[in-house]
Amino acid sequence: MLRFLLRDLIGHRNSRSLHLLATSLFLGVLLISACTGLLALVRDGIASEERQLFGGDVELDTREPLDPNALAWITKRGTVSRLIELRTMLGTINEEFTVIELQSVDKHYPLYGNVSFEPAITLAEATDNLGAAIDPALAFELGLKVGDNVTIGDTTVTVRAVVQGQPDRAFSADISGPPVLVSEQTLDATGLISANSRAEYEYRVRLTGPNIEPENGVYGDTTQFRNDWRAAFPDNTAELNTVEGRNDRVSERLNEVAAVLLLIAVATLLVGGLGVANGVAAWMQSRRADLATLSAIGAKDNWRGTIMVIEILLVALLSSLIAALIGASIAYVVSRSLSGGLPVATSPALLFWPTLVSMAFGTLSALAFAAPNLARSLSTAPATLLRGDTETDSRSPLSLRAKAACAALAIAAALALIALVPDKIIGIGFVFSIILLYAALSELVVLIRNFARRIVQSGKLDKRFAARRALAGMDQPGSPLRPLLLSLGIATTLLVAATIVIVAMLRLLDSTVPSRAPSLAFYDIQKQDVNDFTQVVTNAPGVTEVQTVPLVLGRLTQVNGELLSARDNASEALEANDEHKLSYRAERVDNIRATSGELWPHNYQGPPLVAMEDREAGQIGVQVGDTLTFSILGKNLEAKLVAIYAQGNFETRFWFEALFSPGVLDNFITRYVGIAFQDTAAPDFVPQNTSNTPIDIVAANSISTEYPAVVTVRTSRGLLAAKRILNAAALAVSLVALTSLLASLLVLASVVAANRQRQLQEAAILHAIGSRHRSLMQALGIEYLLLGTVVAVFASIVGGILGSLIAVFWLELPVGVFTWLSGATVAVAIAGLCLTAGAIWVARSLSVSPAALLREVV
Amino acid sequence: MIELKNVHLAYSAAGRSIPVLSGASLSVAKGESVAIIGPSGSGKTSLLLVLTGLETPDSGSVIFDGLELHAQSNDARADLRRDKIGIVFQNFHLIPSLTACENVALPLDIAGSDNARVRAAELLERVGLGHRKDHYPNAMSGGERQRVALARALIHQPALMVADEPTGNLDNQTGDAVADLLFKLNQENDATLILVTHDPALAARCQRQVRLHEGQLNLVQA
Ligand SMILES: Nc1ncnc2c1ncn2[C@@H]1O[C@H](COP(=O)(O)OP(=O)(O)O)[C@@H](O)[C@H]1O
Ligand SMILES: [Mg+2]
Repeated sequence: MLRFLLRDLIGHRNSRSLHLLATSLFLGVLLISACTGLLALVRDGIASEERQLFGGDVELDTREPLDPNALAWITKRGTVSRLIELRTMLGTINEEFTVIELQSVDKHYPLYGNVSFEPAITLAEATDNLGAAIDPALAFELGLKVGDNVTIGDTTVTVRAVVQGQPDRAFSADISGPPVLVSEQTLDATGLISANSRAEYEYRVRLTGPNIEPENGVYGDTTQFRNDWRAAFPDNTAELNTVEGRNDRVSERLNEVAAVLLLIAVATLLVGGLGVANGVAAWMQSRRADLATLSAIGAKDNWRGTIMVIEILLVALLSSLIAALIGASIAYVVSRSLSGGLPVATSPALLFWPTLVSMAFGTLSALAFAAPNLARSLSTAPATLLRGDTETDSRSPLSLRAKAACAALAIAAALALIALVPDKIIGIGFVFSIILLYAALSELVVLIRNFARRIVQSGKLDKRFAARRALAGMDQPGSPLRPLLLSLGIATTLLVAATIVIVAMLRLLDSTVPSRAPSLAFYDIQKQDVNDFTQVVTNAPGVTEVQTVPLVLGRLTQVNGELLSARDNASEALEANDEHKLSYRAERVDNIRATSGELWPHNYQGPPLVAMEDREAGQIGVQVGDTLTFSILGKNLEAKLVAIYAQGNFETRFWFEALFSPGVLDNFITRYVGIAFQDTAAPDFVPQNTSNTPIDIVAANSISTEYPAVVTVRTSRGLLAAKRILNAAALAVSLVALTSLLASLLVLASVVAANRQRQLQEAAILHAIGSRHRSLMQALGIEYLLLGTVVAVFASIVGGILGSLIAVFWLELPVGVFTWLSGATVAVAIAGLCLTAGAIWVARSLSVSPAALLREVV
Repeated sequence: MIELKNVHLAYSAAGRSIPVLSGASLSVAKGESVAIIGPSGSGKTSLLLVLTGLETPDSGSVIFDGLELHAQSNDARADLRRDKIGIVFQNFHLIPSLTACENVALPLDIAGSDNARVRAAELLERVGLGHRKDHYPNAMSGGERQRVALARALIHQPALMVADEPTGNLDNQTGDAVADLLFKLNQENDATLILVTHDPALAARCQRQVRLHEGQLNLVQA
């Protein structure tokens, strides 16, 4: 049997369909393997970046040390690193003092990533034996060098190093002062820790467990940890945060990027599957005659079935294997180009699963798609097959058993797809959308058929052979209209939807870090100093612009007359203790957009109105229409909440929890906050002055000499970090999308070719009885133009809507006209390119001698 | 009308060259009927393909109505088949997704003639398939398909009719009817008829019989 099989495979007369099967399978699996592989690497990169920024998987914040039970509990679940942070003063031997943020670190710090020092020593070398590592700004401000002694509290410590990079502080502005790293022993020695010192304890955990391998992208389950913690210590007041719940814009973006990548991968699975399906269909079609012959010479059904299955399995396994391996290599190479920005995983082990899964998916879907065809062929009487009856029986009903088997296979495929997608809801939504798309496109096929039939029957085209053939061909049994429109339609629609989401994502990433951003921020400018202070800052080195806005601190006490502190929900009640930063909505306040309600016009005059920041509003649980009462400087201020806004950008300018309508806060203003722009063409360009010290440090230092009470914070460092990460994320999305788009194009072109197979035979006959190639190509052109237009219009509209829904409701990305246009462009490009490729393929196939083509026709 | 001059044709299969025609020459006058006979595999079908411009010979020439066939463009040869040649292929080459009537109407459609389907239905009636005009080829017997193929080859009243074993699948009675039709058109329209056959009786009805032997054509009897 094996000999028969091999001879049959290699010597098969219709080798074109074997080619097509192998090519379709190859491209489909290549697409899936490259995309899922890249996804695995990039997601791992993002996961690791997020953990570095956060400092661990989970963090417990308290005002006092955790009780031993709780500590033992968390230590059992992972590696624990304790940080104690304290705002205090540092003094030099010349009795110069400045505010610093003292941080004690232990031997586990940092749990993810590395701290780097100048000189290049280890954390232990820097902090052991009363050593300290200090911020470069502090070194400049106080003229400190390695080896100098400074006093902190009751003790004297030695500066061992200057901090160059601290992963968990990449984005934090040093509002509490420049950081100084010491050991816990040193902190104890300062004597600053007492019952009423305002020290913060941060217990960070890197979860460990049997299956957890951070180096391979497998991290612990933080939700599980949170739930277990709540159950074990319901009364513990420590604030628990997880890396997933991290609440800053960059993490939010990275989460969205991961979701978008996932979306691309899912769409990819389907497009790849379509390629496989069409290849198999074309192959089965061409094998029917052989099936019949085998049966006629006495082969049993079992044997015939086995032969076909083994043949498909052989081709599928081989093509899938090669494709999956090449796909994985593409993923690896592409990911290399990202490693400058994101810490993209270096471990090729991560590619193992995606490669294996793509291979299995390719092989299994080849079998699954072959099954109905095979069942049909086997259940058809050999006589029918021998008559070459390949057209009519594809419409003949399958037996109930075969139907049930196919339905079971379809359900299994859907379940497998849902299982492949990490987010089950998305998987289900996806399968559901596909079913809807399938139904809509099937209906469209019927409409087009009726339309074509009506025109042909009207006789209007009787004198125009090409047009008549094109339209009549759509309503013929065995017409490629249905498979083509379904494959191209579904694939293009999904790709358009993905494009919409990707473009919206990229635009958001691009605008998240403002291109022109302040390099310094100022807090606590006294009201009477504002003008003079502005003058001083304007004269500081490199400063080009200064802006100030009032800052009023107040507490939200009542919502709709009900006391917030009386709420049942403890975390909401706690908010009543929090001071909120309040201000006006000046033009200068970072680009905010209302997510619900509407902001008042700038010239508004009337009763007090307020707008709240979305995250804060969410925490307190207030809604547009509520009446809020704030307590400011002991007085109550009542205002109606008319809008909730999101601050779209990385927060580098002003950040307030609530904004009031003009004039409302006037009586409460005692101080201002400000920002200064420096002469930096781009935020990643930090000009150096002659002494090689960044210009923002120089400016900050000169300002704080004149106004020591004003806190000056450098913001460019965080910006740089954010920009670097988001740029890399954008690049990742673009690369994955491009890989997927290119491979999808190839897959779809092969789908077109596969469906042209039989039409090619028809063309050979028509040419033999006197039809010019030109008019055959014309007929093809008309058919494709119609098909392409239908696909492009359908995909633009339906894909546009689908993509916008995903973007707006799931990822909360804004979608604009440009985004829609890019979606439509992709639709037109895909439909156009695939059909053109198909036409070229037909033209080339027709160019061989007509006799040779005719001999292929059985 | 049509003239073959020293035509050579070889196929390459499995890296070897198999000569099929080696210096075949034939001249057929307008209105003449010629039978080509020869054992299976001797290259009769290949000869017909060369004759109708569907196969390009390695050397030699085919003159059709004074035109060197293989000096013409592909489209010009297609036009020639559309206007002047009707071919009944050995394995019919009907388009499976078209009904009998639509298949027969194709040459008229290609030429943009009027009433294509009406005329096709009439001709199908004449070959005895009026009741099957809306059936698909797969639902027909070999004989029925052959008659559809014949109708398709004749519908545009070609000046040259070429038939590859046109009665090969038919019982005697139907075979005679088909042959009658061919010869009737041959006479009515003064059309040239070249047919390949195994059937000595059919061959005998032609004015001339030539045998294809070792790639060459030899007159059997005038
Ligand atoms: N495309 C081809 N490639 C290789 N050999 C071919 C091809 N077409 C025909 N032949 C061979 O050419 C010879 C003549 O074939 P054909 O013209 O069909 O003969 P006939 O019609 O007389 O039976 C046969 O031996 C056949 O196997
Ligand atoms: Mg033959």
